[in-house]
Amino acid sequence: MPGKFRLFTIGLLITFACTQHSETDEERLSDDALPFTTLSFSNLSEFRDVSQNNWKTASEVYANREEEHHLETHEGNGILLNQPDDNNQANLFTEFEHGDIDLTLDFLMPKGSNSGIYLQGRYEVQLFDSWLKDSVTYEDCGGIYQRWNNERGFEGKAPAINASKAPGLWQHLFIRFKAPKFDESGKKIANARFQEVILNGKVVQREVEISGPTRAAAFEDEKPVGPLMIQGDHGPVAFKNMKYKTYKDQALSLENVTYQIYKGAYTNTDTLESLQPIQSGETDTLSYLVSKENALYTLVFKGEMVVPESGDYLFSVQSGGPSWFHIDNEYITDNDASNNYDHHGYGKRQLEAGQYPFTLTYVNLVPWNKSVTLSYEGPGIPLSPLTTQSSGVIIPNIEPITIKVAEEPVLQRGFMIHHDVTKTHVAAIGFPEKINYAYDLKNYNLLSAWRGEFLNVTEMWLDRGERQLEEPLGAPLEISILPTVALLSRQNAAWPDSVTADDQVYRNRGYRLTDSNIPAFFYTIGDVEVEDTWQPSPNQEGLVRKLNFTFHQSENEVYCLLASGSHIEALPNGSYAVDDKRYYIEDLQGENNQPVIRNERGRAELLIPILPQNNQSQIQYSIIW
Amino acid sequence: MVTNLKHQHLYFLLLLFCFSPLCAQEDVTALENQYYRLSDIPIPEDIVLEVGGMAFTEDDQLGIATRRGEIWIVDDPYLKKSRQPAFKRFAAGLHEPLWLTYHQGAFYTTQRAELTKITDTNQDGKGDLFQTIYSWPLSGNYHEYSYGPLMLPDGDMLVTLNLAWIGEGASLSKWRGWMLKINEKGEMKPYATGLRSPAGFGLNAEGDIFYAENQGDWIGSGRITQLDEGDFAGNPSGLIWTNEPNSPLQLKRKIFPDSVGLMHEFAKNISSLKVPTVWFPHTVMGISTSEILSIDTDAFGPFQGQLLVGDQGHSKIMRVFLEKVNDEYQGACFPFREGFSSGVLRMAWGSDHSLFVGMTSRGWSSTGPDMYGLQRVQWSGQTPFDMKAIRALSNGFEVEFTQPVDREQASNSQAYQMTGFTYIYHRTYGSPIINQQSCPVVKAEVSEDGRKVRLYVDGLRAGYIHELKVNDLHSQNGVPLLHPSAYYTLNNIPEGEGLDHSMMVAQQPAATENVARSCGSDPSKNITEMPEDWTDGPDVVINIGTKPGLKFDLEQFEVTEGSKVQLVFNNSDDMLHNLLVVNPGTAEEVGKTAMGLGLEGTQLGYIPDSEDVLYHTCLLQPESSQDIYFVAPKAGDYTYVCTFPGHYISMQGTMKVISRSTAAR
Ligand SMILES: [Cu+2]
Repeated sequence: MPGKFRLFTIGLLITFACTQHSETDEERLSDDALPFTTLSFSNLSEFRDVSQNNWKTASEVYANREEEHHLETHEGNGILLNQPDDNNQANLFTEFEHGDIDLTLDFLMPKGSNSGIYLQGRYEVQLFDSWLKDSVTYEDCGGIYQRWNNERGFEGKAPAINASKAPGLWQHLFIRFKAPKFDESGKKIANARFQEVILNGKVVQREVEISGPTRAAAFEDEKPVGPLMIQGDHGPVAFKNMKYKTYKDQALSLENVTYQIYKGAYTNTDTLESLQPIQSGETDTLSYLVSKENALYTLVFKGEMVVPESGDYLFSVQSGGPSWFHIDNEYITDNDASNNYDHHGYGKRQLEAGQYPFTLTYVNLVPWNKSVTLSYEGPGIPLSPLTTQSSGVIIPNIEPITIKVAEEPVLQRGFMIHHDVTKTHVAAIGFPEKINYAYDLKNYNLLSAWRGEFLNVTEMWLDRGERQLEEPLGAPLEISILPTVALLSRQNAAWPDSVTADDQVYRNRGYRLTDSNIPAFFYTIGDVEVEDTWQPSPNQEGLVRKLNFTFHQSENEVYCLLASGSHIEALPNGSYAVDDKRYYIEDLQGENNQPVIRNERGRAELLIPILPQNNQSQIQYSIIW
Repeated sequence: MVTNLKHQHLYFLLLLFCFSPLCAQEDVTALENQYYRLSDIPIPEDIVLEVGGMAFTEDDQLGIATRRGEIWIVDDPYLKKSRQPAFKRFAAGLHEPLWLTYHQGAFYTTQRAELTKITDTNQDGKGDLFQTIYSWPLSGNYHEYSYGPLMLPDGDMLVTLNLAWIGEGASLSKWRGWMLKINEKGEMKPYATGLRSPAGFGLNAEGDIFYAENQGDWIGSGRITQLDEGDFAGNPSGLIWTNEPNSPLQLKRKIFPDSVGLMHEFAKNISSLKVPTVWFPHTVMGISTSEILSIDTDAFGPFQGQLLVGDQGHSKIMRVFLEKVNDEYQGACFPFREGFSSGVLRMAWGSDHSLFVGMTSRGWSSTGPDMYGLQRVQWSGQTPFDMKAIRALSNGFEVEFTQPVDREQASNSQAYQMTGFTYIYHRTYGSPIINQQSCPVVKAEVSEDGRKVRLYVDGLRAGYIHELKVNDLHSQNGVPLLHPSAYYTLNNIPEGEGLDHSMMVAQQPAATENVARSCGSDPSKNITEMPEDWTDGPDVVINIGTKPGLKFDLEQFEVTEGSKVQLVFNNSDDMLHNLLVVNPGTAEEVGKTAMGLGLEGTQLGYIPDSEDVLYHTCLLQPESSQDIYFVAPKAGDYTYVCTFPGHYISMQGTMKVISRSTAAR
C-alpha cells in the first residue's frame, strides 16, 4: 500500500518537544493492544468449585462507607463478590492457571475490609481498606504482603504511597507479574517478581522480587504456573472488569536479516525498489545503528520472521522520522510519518504459525532524531521489542523538584495534564491536611483532587521547563470539567462544554486568600457574582465546596453543575455516587434549591437551580473519594 | 639567572595577556567601576531569586517577582539599616511572572496565561487579592512567555506575548507575537505585532513606546524598535491574526518570501513595517536585549534623556541616544556597564537615582556565572570621558562628548574609523553581516567648547548601521576615552548639503567578503567530507547534540589516539551553536578570545584563529547539523566547547584521548 505515504518537504517538518508519558501497558487503548481475556462474572463457572457459599455474582453493589463490612447487593451478574460469615469464608481459585501475567481489575472495599490477590495462589498483593491512613505498610492496599518463617514475618513491601479511595467506591488495580523460572531439572533459577503494581493511577510497586510464597499462600511450593486466588476469609469485597493476559515462554524470532541503506529520504516503496543501496549487509539485530549515515537516508531491514503460534499479533512502530512495517509484502502499520518518537503506529494481523518475510523501513530526515523501534505482542507474548534498546530513545532520570505544604495552604499555578490533555490555566492547591486539588481557571471548576504529598514541579523549574507541568504527587481523582455555573434558558437546555479564555465570559474574576491562606475563587457571569471556596473536609475525607451567589438582576435562570459522569446514583444515605462510584457527593446544603439528575447526550448531570433569596444564595457540598 | 629568566618569561606572558580581549574587558570593567559602581544586594540563602520583574512601592521598598512565581519585598534595598536587608514574601504561586509594576497600591504582573493585579487589602504585608485583569489562550509551548504590564500615563497597560518555538517562531494561539493594550477594566486592544521575543519594552522621556528584540528567525540581530499602534516590527508569525476584527493592521503573512533581502528596502513598500530604531550588533553590543529604561535624571551622570538597555546573555547594560530625523526616531548605542553577576533581565530606579538590576540565567545562560542575582549601580559623581551622543548630519555625524576633548587628537580625521553594514531580512535564524563597507572620515572639526566633533563622512548609506571606532582619543585633561566604539542606525540621512566634491574619496572596495561562511579562517580544521584515504570509513562515530540551557548532551567521550573520528554535531536547540575541539586547558581562553572578535566574529562563526583550536564545526543554525572528520591527537583530556559568545562557560565537554597502549589492554 505505498500510496499511504504522503509526500513531504523538509521545510514543513516540525519537531515538537517530546511528550514523555509514563504510559503503562494497561492504559493503552484497545486499538493499541491485543484484547485482555475477561473473566466472566455471569456466574462462578470460571472458578473452581467452592464448598462454601461466600462467593456469588451480583448486578449492583452498595457499601455504606460508614458501616463496617457493609455490602448490599442486587441479584444478578457482572460483579463478583465475597460476603463471608463464620462458616463461609473460602478463598476463590480461577480455573485458569498462569505464569507471567498482566492483570487488571476494579475492586470495591467495604469499610474496614480486607482481601488480597494471590498470583499463582502464592504471591499476594494486599487489598485493604487503607483509606485515610497517614502511613502505609505491607499490610495496606497495594502492599506486597510478607512471607513467614520461624514465627517471624519477612520481605513484604509497603506501597510507595497510600493511593486508596473511600470504602464503597470502585478502585482500579493493575498488576504485572513475572512467575518464578525453573531449569530443566526443576531447580528455580529466577524468583517471582512484581514488575509493576498500579493502584488508582499511581505506581505503588516497581520491580519487587519475592523469594517465595506469601504467609497465607495456598501452596508452599513454587511452580511455573498456578491459579489466581482471591482471598475470601478476611471480609467482604467486590470485583468487576477483571481481565488478564497470560504469557508463555515464547517469542517471535528473526532469521536471515539483511539491511539496505539508501542515500536520501524515500517514503515511496516503489521508488525504493528501483534504487541501488549505498550500503547493505547482514545483521543479527534490528537497530538504526547499522547505518553510519548522518541524515537523509532510508534504512530497510528485510528478513524472515518465525511465528511460534497461530493467533492475533499486534505490531507497533515508533521512530524519529517516517517508518513502516510489512509482513509478506502486506502493509501492517506506519507511524503516520511522524517525527515524534512517542507517536506509535499500531497494526494487527492474524498469523498462522510458520515463517514469513518482513520488511521494516525507516527514513531518517534529521540527524538529531535517530530512532526506530518495532514492537509486537502476540498470543502468550507480552509487548516486546524486536529492535534493540539502543535503537530507541532512552529517557534519563532526574532528581525531582517538589513543593511541600507546611502550616499554611499553598497555591501554585502551572500547566497540568488532565485526561491526557495539557491544561494551561490551572491552580493547584495543597492543604496542610494532605488534601490537594487542582482548579481550572478557564471553566472555574475542579480539575482533580488527591490526597498525600502536594506537587512535583520539576518540569516547570528545571532548566527552561519545557513542559511547564505541575504533577500531583498523589493518586489523582480526575473530574470531568465542565463550567460550574451557566445561565440556561430552561432546565433541559444543554450544559456548555467549555468557555474559552479569550471569550472573557467571566468578568471581575480572580481569587482571594483568607487569613489562613485559603483561596476563594470569584467571578461574575451574566449578572451573577460567584464565589467558590474549597476546604478539606473534617477527617480529610475529601473537600468541602462552598458556592456563594449574589444576584444583581435575576432575569436568567442560573444553574450550578454539581457533578457529571457516565452515571450518577442517589444513594440510600442521601448522598450521590458519581460516574459509576468514582466519588461521592455528600452533605448537599442548598437551602430551598433542589437538585435534579438529568441525562444529556449520554452524560449524567447533577444540576441544581440557584434560586436567590434577597439576591443571595449558597450551595455547599462535599466531594469524598 | 634562572630567576631572571623566569621573570622575563612572566613579563612576556603578562604582555600577551594584556593584548588579549580578556584583559581589555577586565580593564573596562575596572574603569567603568570608577564611575558606575557595582554592588551586590545580599540574597538570603533560602531564596531562589530568579528575577522576573522589579518595581518600587510607594514606601520605597523593592518588589521582586521571581520565575518560581514568588513576589518578594525588600525592605531596605539601599542597605541603609543593615548589610543584609529583610526579604518578605508578598505572594507566591504565580506562573512564571516576568515583570512587575506597582501602581496605586497594587502590584501588576503577567503570568503565562494572564495579566494579574495583586493587592494587599488588609495591609498585613501579604497580597490577598489576585485579580485576573485579562487572560489569553496558550498552546502549552514553553516559549510562550508573557511580559508586562508597562503602565502608561493614562493608566492603560501594555503587555507583550512571546512566540512559541517549534523549530521556528510560531503564533500558536491568539495574539502571540503581539503587543496588547489593556485597561483596568480588562478591555483589550491589539496594538502592534511582528514581535518575536519581546522581553523588554519601555517609554523614552517623550513617552514613546520602544521594545527590545532578540536575534532569531527574521531578526538578524538584537535591536530596539519604536512602536505606534498598527506597527509591524518584522517577524511575520503574528500576522496570522490580522484577520481578526480588532486587528489594527491588515498585513498578511503570505506576502513574505523566505528571504526578503534588505529590510529597509522592503519597508519602503509596506507602510506598516517599522524598521528598527537602533540595532545592537550581535555579540558586539550584547546577544539578548532585555529591559529598556529611560534615564530621567541628571543625578545618574551626564546621560539624562537617554535609554538604558539590558542584556541577559552578556550580563551587561548598554546605552542609547535617540534623535528624530524626518520625524522618525533613530540613534546610536554605546557600551555602558558590564560585569554583572548573572543574566541582566530587569532594571529599576531607586529613589536615590541608583539603578537596581535583577538577574536570572536558568535555561538561558549568561556571562555572569551566577544562576540569579540582585545588584545595584551607583554613579560615583565623576563624569566618565565618553561619547555622549551621535547626531546624524547630511554629510556625516556630530559626536558629542561628556567632556572637552584633546583638540589636536580630536581634529585628526585618522582618529575615526567608520564602517557601514546591515543584516539580511529572512526566515533564517540570525544573519551574517552583509554589505560591509568602510566610510572614510575625511575631516573632523572640533567645536569651540571642545565638546563636539563634527565628522565629514563619505559613503553614508541610509538604512545601514554605521560603526564608529575612535582611536587614541583623550579628553582635554588627558583621560582616555572609556568606550571607543558606537553604532549609529542611520535610517534617514538628514536633508542638507552633501560632501564637497573635493572631500569625496574614490570608493574603496568592500572591506571584507560579504558572503560569510561563519566557519573560522582555516578550512583544514573543518573537514566535512570523509577523507578519501579512509577506505574503511571512520573508526568511531561520535554523536553530540545540544540540551536546553546551553549544554552539550554528551559530557565526555573516549577515543584512541590516532583513530579516525567522525564527529556529528546536531544543534537541536533554538539558538546558534558551534563545536570546537581545543587543546587541554584552553577552552576558557579560546571562549574569551571568541567573545572579543567583535564584528568579525559573525563572519568567523566565532571561531578564533588560534593554535589551540584543533578541529571545529561551523556555526550551526538551530536544528541543523554538521559532520567533521579528524584523526584523534596524542593522548590527553581535550575539551570541546561552543564559542558562541557567552556559551563557553557551560557548553563544554571532554574528549578523552587514550594512548594506544592503554587501549590495547
Ligand atoms: Cu553555543
